[in-house]
Amino acid sequence: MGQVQQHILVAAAGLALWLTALPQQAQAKKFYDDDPLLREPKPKPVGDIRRRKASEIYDYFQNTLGKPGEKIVPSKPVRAKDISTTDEVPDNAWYVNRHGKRRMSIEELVRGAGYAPTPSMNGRWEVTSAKTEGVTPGFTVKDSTGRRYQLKFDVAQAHELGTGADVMGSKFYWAFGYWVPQNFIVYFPLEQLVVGKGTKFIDQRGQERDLRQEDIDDIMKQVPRDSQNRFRAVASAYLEGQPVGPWKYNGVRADDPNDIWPHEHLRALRALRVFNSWVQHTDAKSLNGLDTVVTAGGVKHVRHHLIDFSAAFGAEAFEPKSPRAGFVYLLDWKDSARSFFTFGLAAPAWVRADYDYVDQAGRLESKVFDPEEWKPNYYSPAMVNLLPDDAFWAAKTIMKFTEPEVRAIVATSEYSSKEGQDYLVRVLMERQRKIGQTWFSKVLPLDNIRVENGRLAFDDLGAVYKYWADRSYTVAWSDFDNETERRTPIPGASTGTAVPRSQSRYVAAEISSGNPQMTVTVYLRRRGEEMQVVGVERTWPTDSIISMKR
Amino acid sequence: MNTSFGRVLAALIVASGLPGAQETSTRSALIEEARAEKQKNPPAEEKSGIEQALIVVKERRLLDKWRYGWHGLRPRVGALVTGSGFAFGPEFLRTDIRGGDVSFRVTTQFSTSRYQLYDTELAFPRLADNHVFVSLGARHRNYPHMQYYGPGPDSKRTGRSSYRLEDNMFGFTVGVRPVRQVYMGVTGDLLQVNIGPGTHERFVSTDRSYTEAQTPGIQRQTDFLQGSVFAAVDTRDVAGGPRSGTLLRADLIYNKDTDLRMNTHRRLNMEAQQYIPFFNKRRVIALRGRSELTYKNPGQQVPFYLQPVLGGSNDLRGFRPFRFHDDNLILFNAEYRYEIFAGLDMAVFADAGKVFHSKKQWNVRDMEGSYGIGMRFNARNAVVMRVDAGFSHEGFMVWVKFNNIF
Repeated sequence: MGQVQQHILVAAAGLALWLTALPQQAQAKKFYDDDPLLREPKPKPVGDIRRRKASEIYDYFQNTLGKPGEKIVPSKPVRAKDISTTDEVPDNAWYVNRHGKRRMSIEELVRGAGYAPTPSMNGRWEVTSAKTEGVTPGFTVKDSTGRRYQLKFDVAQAHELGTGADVMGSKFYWAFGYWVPQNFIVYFPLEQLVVGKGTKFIDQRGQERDLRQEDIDDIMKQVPRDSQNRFRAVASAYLEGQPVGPWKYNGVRADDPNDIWPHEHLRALRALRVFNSWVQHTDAKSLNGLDTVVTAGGVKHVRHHLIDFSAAFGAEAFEPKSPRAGFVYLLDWKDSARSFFTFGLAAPAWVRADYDYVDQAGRLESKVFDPEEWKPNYYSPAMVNLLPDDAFWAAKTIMKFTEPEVRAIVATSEYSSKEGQDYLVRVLMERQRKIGQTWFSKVLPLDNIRVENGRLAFDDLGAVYKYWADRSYTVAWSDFDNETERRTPIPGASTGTAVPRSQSRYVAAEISSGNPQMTVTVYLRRRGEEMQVVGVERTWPTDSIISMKR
Repeated sequence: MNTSFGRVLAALIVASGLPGAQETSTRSALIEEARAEKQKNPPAEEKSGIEQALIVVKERRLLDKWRYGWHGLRPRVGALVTGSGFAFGPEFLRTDIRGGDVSFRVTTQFSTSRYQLYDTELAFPRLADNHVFVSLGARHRNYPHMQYYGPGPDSKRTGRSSYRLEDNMFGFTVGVRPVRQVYMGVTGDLLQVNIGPGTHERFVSTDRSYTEAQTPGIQRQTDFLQGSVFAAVDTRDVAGGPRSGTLLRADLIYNKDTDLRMNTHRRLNMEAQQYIPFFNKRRVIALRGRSELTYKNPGQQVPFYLQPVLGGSNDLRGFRPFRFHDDNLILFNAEYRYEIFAGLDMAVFADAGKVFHSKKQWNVRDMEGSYGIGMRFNARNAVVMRVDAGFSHEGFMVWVKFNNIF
C-alpha cells in the first residue's frame, strides 16, 4: 500500500467514524412517535429453542457465593430496561398488565390464568409419570379429556398447607401480571388414579421400570386423607406450549432473540422483591421459573412463567414457614457472624417476633415485617437491583387489592379452617399497608398522571391511601428539546398545574412537594391542540436506595 | 487503489452504516432492531461444568442409587463403634417392600481396625395402621480391641487396656403405638458373649491388667436370655433434631445367665429429655437426664461388658470413650443451642455424670464434668452431622459424628 493510499485510508476511516457517530446522534432522542408503549412489538419468531436444564444446588451456590449479574450501585442506578417512557411495564412475554391497570372482577381473580378447566371427574385419571423423590410424592395425570395435570400433595403433619399456598399464589401472581399455571384444589379417592399405558417409573432405588398399580397404592400410603377418605392435591394444569427449562434472574437466554435485556434489569423481575414480600414467597429461585415456547398471535415465541407457590404465605411446602424466612438469607454472613460471636444473645427482631400460628395457614406475621429488609431465600440478582421507582410500581399494584378481593383469593386455598383463612387475610392486609407506606415514601408517589381541562392532574397515592393528608406541589415548567434533551424554562409560567402556552412540541413539568430530591418529571407532547403525557421520570434521594438493604 | 485497500475502505464505509443510516422513528423499531441483532449475533450460552455434573447426578439419581444401591445392594460406610476406625462393607437394604410396610436388611462391615459386624433385621414398622411394630434380628460382632479403663469411678486414665468383644444376638421386638406420642413393647433376645485378649498394639490386654474380681466376666463368659419391657412418651417435634417437647423412656431388662448362672441381673434404664425453645425455636435449651441401674441377687454379678458405661461422644464428651464402667450410672447433659444459619446451629454444653457401685450413691455428688462447644449441621430439620469439642480435667476431645446426641 502506497503512502497516498494510506493517507486516503486514514481520511476514510475518520470519515467513517464520524458517519458512524452521526446517525446515532440523530437517533438518540428521548421520545419516539409510538411512545409510550403499552405493549412491546410482536415478538420475533423463534427457531429451535434448546431445553435448558438447571441445578438447584448450583443455582443456590452460584447466587450465594458468586452473586452473578450486574449489580447496581446507589450512585449509579440503572433504570429498568423493560419500562415504557411513562414508567410502566408494557405487556410482554414476562408480564401483562392486569389488576394493576384495570380492576379485575372477583370472578376473574378467583379464576386465575383460566386456560384450563378443573380436571374432569368423568373417568379415571391416567398416571403418566410418578415422582417419588423429595418430601412429598407427585404424579402427572391425564384426565378423560386428555388434558394433563401435575398432582402434588401435602404431608400429614401439614395437611392442606402447601397445596393451599400453591393455589392462592397462582391467583395472586396472575393478578399481579405474571404468567403462571392454572392451579386447582382437587379431592379424589384412590381409585381415581390408574396406571397409564406404557408409563415408566423410577422407583425409590433409582431403578426405572414399568409403573404398576401397586406402586400408586404404595406411594399414596404416605399421603394423608380427609374425613371422607379422599386425597387432597393441587392439580396444576400443564402450561401452554413446549417447556424449554427455567429462566435465570440474571443474563439473557441466548437462543431467544426477544430476550434482549439482562434479567437483572427487568422491572418485572426486580419488582418480584415487592410482590414476593407481600405474600412471603421466599422460594424465588430459578427452578421456580419456566420458559415455554408458545404460539400466540401467529408467532412462535418464548413465554416466561413463574411456577410453584407452595412455599408462599405461611407455608414452606411441607411445613410451616421458618421464622427466618423473608428476614435473612438461608446463609447470611452478617447475621451468622452476629449470632456466632454473641452466642445467639443478640437476637434480631425477627427472632423475637410473635407468630399467631394457625395450623392450616402456617406461619406469617406482619408486626416485624419490614418491606425494605425483605429477602428471598437467597440472593437474587434481579431483586437486589430494585430501585425506588420499580418498588413504587409494584406497590401501587399491590395496593389495588381490596380486602374482599384478598379474601376471595385466600378462599381458593380451601383451607378447612375459617380461622386460618381469616388470619391470612388479616396479616396480608397489614403487610399490604406496610408495603404502601414504605415504598410510597421513597418517591413522590404520583400516579394516573393526565392532562384535564388544560391542567396537569395526578393522584398522590400517599394521600389516596391515607398515609398522609393532601399536600401542595410545585411545578417547574420548561420547554423540552426531544433531540438534545435540553430543558428551557418557560418564561412567565406559573408554578401551578396549569399547562402553560408554548410553541414547543414537548413540555416538561418537574413536580416536587417539599423535598427537591424527590421529584416527578412529566413530559407532555403536543398532538394537535391536545397535550398528551408521553413520559414520567422519578428522582429520589440516594438515601432511598442505600436504605434498601442489598 | 489496489484490491486490499479497496476492501478495507469499503468495509469502513459499510461499517459506518452509511447506506442504511436512516433514523429510527419508533420505539418498536428500536426494539425490533435489537432483537434482530441478537438473533444475528446470539451471545454465548453460559455453561458450567459443575452445573452439568450436578444435573447428571440428579437426573440419573446417582445419590438415590448410592443410597438404595442396586436392587437394594449398596455400600455401607461409617464407624461401627467409637475407636473402630473407618468401616466399610456391603449392605442389602430394602425399605420399600409392600410400600414401606416391610423392611429387610443384611449388613456386613469391616473396619480399618479389623472390627467386624454382621447384622440382619426384618421389620414391620407400621402394622395395624401404624399402631403396631414388629422386628426380628440377628447380629454377630467381633470387635478386637474395645477400650477398658478398670472398674468404678476412680479408674485411672492410665489404666487403659483392650479386650476383644465377640457376641451373637438373636432377638425380636413387638411394640404398640396406641397414639402417636406413646409407644411401648417387649423384646426378647438370646445373647452369646465371648471375651478375648485385646489386640491393640499400644495397650495391654484387659485380662492381663485386671482380675476377675475387679472385672467380672473377663475370664469366663456366658449366654444370656434377655427379656425387656419398655415404654415411652415422646412429644418432641422432630426426633432427629428436636427443638421442643419431651421424651420420657424407661426400659426394664431381665438378663438371665443360662450357662454359668452367676451373671443374672436386672437393669432399669431411664431417660428424660426436655427441650425448652425460645425466640421462635431459634434458640433451644436442651436437657437430658439418664440413669441406668442394675439389680442382682446375692451371688450374682453384672459382667463388665454389660455394665453401664460413661465417656465419649454421647455422654461425657470431655472424656475418652468407655472411660468409666460400673454397675450404675447417672448422667446429666445440658445444651444451649442457637441458630447460626438455616443449616447450622451452635451448641454450648455441659455434661455431668458418674458411674457408681452402690445405689446409695445415686445422687449428684462427686460427678465428673465436662463442657464444650459444638456445631450441629441440619438438613430438613434433622441433625446430619455434629462436631463437638469437649473439655475435662483429663484433657479435651473432638468428636465428629453423623447423629444427634439428643
